Amino acid sequence: MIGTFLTVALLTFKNRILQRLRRLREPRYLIGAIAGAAYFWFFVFRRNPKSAVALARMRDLSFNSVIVDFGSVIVLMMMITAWALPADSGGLDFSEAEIAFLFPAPLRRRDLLLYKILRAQPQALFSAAILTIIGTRQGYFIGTWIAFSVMAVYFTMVSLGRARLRLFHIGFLPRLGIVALIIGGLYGLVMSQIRTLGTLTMPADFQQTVKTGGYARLAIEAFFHKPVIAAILFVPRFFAAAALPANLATLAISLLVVAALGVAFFFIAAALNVSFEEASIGASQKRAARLDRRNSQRIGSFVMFKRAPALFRLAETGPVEVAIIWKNLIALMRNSIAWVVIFTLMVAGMVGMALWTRDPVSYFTIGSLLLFMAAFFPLFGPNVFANDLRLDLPRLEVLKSYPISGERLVAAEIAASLVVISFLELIFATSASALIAMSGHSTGYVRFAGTPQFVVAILLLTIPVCAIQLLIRNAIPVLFPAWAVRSKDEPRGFVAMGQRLVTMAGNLLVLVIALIPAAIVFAPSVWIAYKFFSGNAAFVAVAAMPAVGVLAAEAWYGVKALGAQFEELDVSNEMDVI
Amino acid sequence: MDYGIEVSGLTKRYDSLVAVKDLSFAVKRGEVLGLVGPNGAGKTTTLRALAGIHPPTDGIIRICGFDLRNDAVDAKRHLAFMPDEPRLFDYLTVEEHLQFVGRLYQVTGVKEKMDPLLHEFELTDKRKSLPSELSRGMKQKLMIACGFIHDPDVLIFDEPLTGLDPLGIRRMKESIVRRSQAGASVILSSHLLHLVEELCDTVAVIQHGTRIAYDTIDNLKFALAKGRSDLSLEEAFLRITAEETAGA
Repeated sequence: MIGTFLTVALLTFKNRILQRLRRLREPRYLIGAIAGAAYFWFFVFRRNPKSAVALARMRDLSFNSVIVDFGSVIVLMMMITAWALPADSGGLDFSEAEIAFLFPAPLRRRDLLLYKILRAQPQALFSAAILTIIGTRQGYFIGTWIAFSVMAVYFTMVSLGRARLRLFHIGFLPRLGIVALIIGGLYGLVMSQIRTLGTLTMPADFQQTVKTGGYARLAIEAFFHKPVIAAILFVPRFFAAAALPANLATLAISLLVVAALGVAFFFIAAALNVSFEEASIGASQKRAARLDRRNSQRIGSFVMFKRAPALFRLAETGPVEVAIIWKNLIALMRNSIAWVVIFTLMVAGMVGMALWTRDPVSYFTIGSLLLFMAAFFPLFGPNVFANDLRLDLPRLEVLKSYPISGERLVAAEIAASLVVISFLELIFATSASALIAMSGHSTGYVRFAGTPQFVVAILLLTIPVCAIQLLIRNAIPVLFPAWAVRSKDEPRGFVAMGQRLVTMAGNLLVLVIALIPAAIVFAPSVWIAYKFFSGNAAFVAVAAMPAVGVLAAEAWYGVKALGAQFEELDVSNEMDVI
Repeated sequence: MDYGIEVSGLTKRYDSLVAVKDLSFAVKRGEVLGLVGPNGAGKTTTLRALAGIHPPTDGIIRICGFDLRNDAVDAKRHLAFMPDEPRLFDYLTVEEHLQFVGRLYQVTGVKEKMDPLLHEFELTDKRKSLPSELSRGMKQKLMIACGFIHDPDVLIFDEPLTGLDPLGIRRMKESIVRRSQAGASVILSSHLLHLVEELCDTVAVIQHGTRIAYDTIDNLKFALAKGRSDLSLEEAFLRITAEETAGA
């Protein structure tokens, strides 16, 4: 049986790796993998010199024993708090396929437990390898792996123990109470031991010891070597020492003890003989629902406020674009209104704080801060409010069957996001301008910031920029549908991270290219406006007009081009997996 | 204008794969055409091309006389596409779905049309519910109700009975018959051959993207019966596809 289980576990792991490697034949995964690997290389392996010096110092100081001490405390806390979890959480979860194949199979519960432990081994090996590579210590991979595996067996045993306690009518709250009592008792014991520490005997080279941080180490070691503390941490220390042993002898002893504990935990778990099948099915369903919800939240399709009303009544006839805007504003109300409330409350809080102080300096400081937010909001706003084509990705097939041209559909789709972003931008800019005006600053260009003309100029410039930003983001599912697809089997780890980096870099690049013509026009128009309207507050708004014209023209052509592309989009391939 | 749907030389390629090859057929007003074929034959690809979801590589599709490529919006105004998998907006209620679709198709009197439709599809009690609060069958019914709200001249169904309960199936069949009798051109794909036999006037059998048979059900059965009078469409279908496979 063990051989079969091991084969299944290894084949599963091997096939998963092969599948991910095969996926690299597709450019989106390959590019993502290269970008992710480059990021990983530069930020993990090629640490900056300062971090490397700090790590080297940690090693020189022989901080290993201190790390093991603290590691033991963490292990102890994990072991205790595991008993305080709800009865159905973790430890017993099987995948849907495992439930379908293994539960009806002629297997004992002990076999299922054994399978669960063996199944986790490739992943535990991988995690241990990663930790060994990027950790502060090199080597001792085997110790980390065994410690991880035995902890997993322990958690399975505790899960079954919790289920067993429930049969004795000892539910979540009594367990939580007992765990709280144990932790409280331990805390009292620790405090009493700290009080008995007294004054440490100073070493001869005291100055040097303090300088290198050795004094702290001595104090910590003195505490952890107290007989009571050492006794409490006796078992957890084997786990920490297996992962971070001081020498090979410690490694060997720790491994033996931890492995023996693993066997003991397994037999205790098997002896508990609790019916976990039903709980496992429940846990599997909950996990699937949780993943669905997390995915929905990530792509902004999670309906948070189910009963939020529509912002306006939809008339039966009229421009069809209004129907799309109406639909997307409902999506905003139900999926992401929380963001609008958060931003509005944030601005209200800041303005309220400034008004409460009645201090011109506060007015100016908070006004400047709001101005800064108004300047940067167009950059991240389109990412926060995705109630547009991005939200409708799984329904592109239906959208394409509607009697509306691609161009009008794209324009209507981004309009709702643009409305809400413009509304928030108006709040930022107006609040900033009002506070700056109230500060009484009358020098240089600052006085322009406190005028209504300035608010108009800000809105004139930022709304087309936001429209272009929204167009860029909506163009991804239309031009590169594969990059926008979110399937159940989407890549994780550094491939996903790389894909996000590439998308972000692409967005920025296109935005910069789109802004260049406007910037070229803006520079001379500012000079001309300054020359002729310098005494008038309207000069900023006048200066912005040509650049606004360029940006608006770009947005207009962008909508037309994207609309035409949308009509040619073939949703049959990639979108099927959504 | 006798034909709701006219398809001529429809071809759809995905790189080297030819999903549909030189397919031609026409559906008269009031006619129900069944599109049948084994899995992967190209039925869904054909229906999606008819609904304007993906552009064909070659060929002409006319909906009520409008070329789907050149007069896409006018053509789509006359049709309703009901996919096999209900693709609903997670954040719109049942009622809002109908209002939304009504506005897209410029339907006057949506409120008056909504109530009978909701009643027909047993969704009256669910009018304020979101799709997440509906069962699979109810979602399918809502998708179909959305398709019916503008009284389309052309109805395209991809596996219309998937997920429906027995009463839902009966009502669905009645709806299809009623709408075809009122003059709508209907095309449906299904693996349920008894349904096709019951509802359809003509059948097009496709395999590997190619049309291998196209006639009225009676003619098809007669041609294959060879003296037998009790040949079902299922047997006819199996024979046609087997002959084609053997011939290939």
